[in-house]
Amino acid sequence: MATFNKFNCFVEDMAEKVHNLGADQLKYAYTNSAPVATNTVLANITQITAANGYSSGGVSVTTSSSAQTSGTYKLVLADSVLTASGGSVGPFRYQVLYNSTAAGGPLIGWYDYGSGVTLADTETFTVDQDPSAGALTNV
Amino acid sequence: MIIRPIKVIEMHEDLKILMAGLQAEKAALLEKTASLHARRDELIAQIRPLEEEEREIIRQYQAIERPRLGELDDQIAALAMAMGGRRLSNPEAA
Repeated sequence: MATFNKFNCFVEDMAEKVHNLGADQLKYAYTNSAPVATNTVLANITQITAANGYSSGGVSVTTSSSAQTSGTYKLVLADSVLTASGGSVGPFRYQVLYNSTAAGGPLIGWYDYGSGVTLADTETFTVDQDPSAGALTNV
Repeated sequence: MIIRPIKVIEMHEDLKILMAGLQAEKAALLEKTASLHARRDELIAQIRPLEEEEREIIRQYQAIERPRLGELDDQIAALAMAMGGRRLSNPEAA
């Protein structure tokens, strides 16, 4: 199970109108360099080369729901697939979730696959979200 | 014979002077930024109709996209994994 690592700035950004998680376009930026919690915007992340199915800025993710129940907020994201097309993609190890609608691409959190991956042509990499647990919660 | 607590009275006078000084500094500070606050309020008033228009657009496209778009992404991912694709499994909620 991959752990969701939160960027420090996210909690303040949530409180200061940076994000509209119910409507903004979120993306996974792929990188092979370990993010650190003090990173704040997409420019802090060294993305893999944009080629063969990976576009600069990363892979869009669909927001399935953004709602609270009994005072606990939960963001549910759909699964997201990166497909290598026309050549290899990577290597990458980390998937960085960020807001591509908000100015500067403020960072939210990242996952660590645990080892570097290079996709050969036509291979896929899926971020398989748990719809019941949600991508993140906020009490 | 009544003995007045002279020191206490003097201390209160000192505190009153100190408070007046702080209040004057606060008033001067707020006066200095009043025009900036007013300008921000003007900008917010201008932005508000655009924000309402944006919210309406969001409502419209979400009414079309949800829940099917997420279902399609989940099904595409299920197929990718069924075909042996790599998977970052079950990220946990934070």
